[in-house]
Amino acid sequence: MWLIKGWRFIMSYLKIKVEGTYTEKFVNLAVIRGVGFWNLKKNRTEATLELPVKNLKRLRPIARQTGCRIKILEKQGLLVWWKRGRKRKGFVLGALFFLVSLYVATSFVWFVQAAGNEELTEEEVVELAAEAGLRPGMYKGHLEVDKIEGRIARMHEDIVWAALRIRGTTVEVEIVEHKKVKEEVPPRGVKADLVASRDGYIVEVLELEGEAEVEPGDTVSPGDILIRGERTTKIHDDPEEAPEKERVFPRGKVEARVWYDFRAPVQEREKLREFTGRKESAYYIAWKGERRLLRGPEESPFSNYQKEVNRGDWELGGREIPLDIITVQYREVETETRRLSREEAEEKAKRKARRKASRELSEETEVRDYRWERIKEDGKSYIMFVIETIEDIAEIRYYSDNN
Amino acid sequence: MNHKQKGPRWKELMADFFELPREVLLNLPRLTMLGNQQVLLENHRGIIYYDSEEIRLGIRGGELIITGRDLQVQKIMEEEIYITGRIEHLYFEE
Repeated sequence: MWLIKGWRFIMSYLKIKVEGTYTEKFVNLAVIRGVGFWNLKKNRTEATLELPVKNLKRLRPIARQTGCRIKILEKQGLLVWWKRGRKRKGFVLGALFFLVSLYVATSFVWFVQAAGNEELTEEEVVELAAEAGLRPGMYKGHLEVDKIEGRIARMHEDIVWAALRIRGTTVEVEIVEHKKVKEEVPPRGVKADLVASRDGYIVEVLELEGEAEVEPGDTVSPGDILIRGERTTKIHDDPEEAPEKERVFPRGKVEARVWYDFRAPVQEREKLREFTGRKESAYYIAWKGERRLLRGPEESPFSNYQKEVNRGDWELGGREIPLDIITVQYREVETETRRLSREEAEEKAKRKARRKASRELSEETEVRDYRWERIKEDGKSYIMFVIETIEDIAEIRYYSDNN
Repeated sequence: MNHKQKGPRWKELMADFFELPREVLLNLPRLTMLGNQQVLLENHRGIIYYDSEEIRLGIRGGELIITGRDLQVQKIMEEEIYITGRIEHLYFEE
């Protein structure tokens, strides 16, 4: 709707009054001749209607034909303003000047920014861009985006790819830097194997360097050699003779199914601590660590309590003030033992075990499966949360020549 | 006269046979209403009478009469009339 209204406004419209006995006839005749109207209103012998400015001329003969009189009530719209504006040259010129200067101002590059830089600083990237031909103050139309992008990427060896993104008057230089892969360079002459870091069931072995000692389906324990740091250089024809080998630095990945268990005791008795609501406060004044009771009890008036100490630790201009007021609050606590049903106790233990698991496992751990187990040990029962994951269990182990 | 009456019937058959929209072939008005608030009439033959309580519109072979309150002709063009207001009755007269 606003589109139509906007167009109407741009093309400008008139509000006219038609007086006569047969205003309908006037309207119909005009419509037949292609003059449409909006917002027709009528009372007795006069009707007001709106129409595009350009159609006014065509109405005169129709009015004469139907015996109606036309009176213009108001003119509205951009075209009308434009015509009026001819009389107010200063204003129109000012408005025009503003629009033109705004347009001109936005067709230049005002700012250059960097994005995607990690090792390089913003200044370095902006400087590079300047060398490549992108400077603030340039006319946007003269920007050879493709060429500048290529130049930036070629100029610096750490930049793999560059792209310019024009956002209004800001040009963003997005770059992708060379990722320097930090490869573990083995110390020369050192002998090493990849061994299992924990118990697991091998699922996949990927040897990059060295010889795999295990294959999928094997079960390993911590310390078992997974990939031996050796390479066969020669196999003799005589099967009795051991093949010749040389030491290499082993590299690879050994994925294994690994189980973690988290146990929590099932306690059918639960100790609850609750505040009774009774409390007592004591106030001390302290000067350089020595304190003196101002008011309140010296010791806790309750046998079961929780103590809370509040220090002022005042500072003045970054320096500690030796004077302090210490508040000690004693809150009475009541402990109550509650008997839980078997299910409740197990549920609680499960929650505990789960919390333990989420605390100890890293967030990236890919959980494949999990199960709950009930176990008994020394007459106590536990709930065990067993989580199965798949992870790389290979771990480097160096050893000296003697072994 | 005879010929004139024959025409539409033949056209009606054609429209049915070829599944063509009737308003095109038969010059029938097409009415679109939005509840009791808006009426869009396409293919009209002018306004016969209008005020805020009654609007009579010319259509092929008769009139379409709309009565109600606060009726207003929002737009009238060669092909369509757009009326808003609170429409109470709408009927055809031969």
